[in-house]
Amino acid sequence: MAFFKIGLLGFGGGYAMIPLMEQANRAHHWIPNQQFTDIIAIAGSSPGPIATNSALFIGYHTAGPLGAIIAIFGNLLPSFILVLGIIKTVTHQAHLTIVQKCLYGIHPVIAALILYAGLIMSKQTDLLSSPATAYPQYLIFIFSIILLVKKVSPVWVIGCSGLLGIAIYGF
Amino acid sequence: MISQEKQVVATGSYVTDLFAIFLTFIKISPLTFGGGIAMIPHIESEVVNKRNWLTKEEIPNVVAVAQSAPGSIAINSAIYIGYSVRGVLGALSAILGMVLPASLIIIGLTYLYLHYQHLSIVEDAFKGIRPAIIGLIVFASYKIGRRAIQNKFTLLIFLITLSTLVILSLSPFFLIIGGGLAGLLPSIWNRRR
Repeated sequence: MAFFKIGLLGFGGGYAMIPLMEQANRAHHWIPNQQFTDIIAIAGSSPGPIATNSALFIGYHTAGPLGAIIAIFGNLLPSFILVLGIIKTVTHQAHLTIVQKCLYGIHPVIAALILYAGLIMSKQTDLLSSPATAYPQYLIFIFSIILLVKKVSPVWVIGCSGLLGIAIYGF
Repeated sequence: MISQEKQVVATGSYVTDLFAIFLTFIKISPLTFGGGIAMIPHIESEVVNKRNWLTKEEIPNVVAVAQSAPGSIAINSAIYIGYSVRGVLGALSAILGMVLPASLIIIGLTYLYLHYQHLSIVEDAFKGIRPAIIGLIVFASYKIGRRAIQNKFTLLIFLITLSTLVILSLSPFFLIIGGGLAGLLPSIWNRRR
């Protein structure tokens, strides 16, 4: 049910669902908060939609295979209904205009939600705690932003930062 | 935008078409690293060039609908294309093709993660990955924000949302509905004048 809500509100693609999942996870205590970041890492570095991937993991972790199926199903059902709905009503141009006007207001909200999820997650991963011990993390953070601005694929960014992590903390 | 008459564009029998849709999206699915818009060129080459299910001119419609509906863009485009080829069952085959390979891979990775997460080398790698994920998320917010914040009005919505979140930690549900209603305001305002 919670994943139905997430799927229903995830306007703007996979990343828009991360803040919704993060919030639901905090409310329901499905998985530990730090593990949540790791899940996003795994989901983001595998092929396939990031939201479906994380739904699968959280569902499985909470209630086994059945939980995974329910989470995916709940996550996909709203898309299914609404895409078909839009295709059927799209011949009426007026309907699409209203949808687009709503999206005009929804997209800034989504941008803020994602940014806030980033803030919460950086708190949970101690990125904001003490600058003295966390400076390698700052470097990786800045490094990853630079790579992304240069249009490097997220998969490579995650891979490189994993190697950096091993190099920094492993020795 | 999409004419109801030419909905069935497939040529084979019903079952072979459903299977073809399923296979096509199984092929596209592993290419969707990072998801979203990045996969549209793959969809175009498979669906337009190889299968002739859609014309090149319909691709922007696919993108528009996929972005207007909630959910991941990859799944939404799969639903759209599957439906326009073979109706509801076509849409279901497309979803199945899109989700199945990705799910199997993620099940494998999850299994590895749960078994080896306490290994020190894995722990070190994830210590490095976590800040990068936050970078990824901040960047995603920037990308959506750059497109969404077009003027003072949308900037105001963005700032109100952010401060409501920090101060009240209100549920995203109400914020998104509020944003949708706020999006209607300018046209109501213009009509009054």
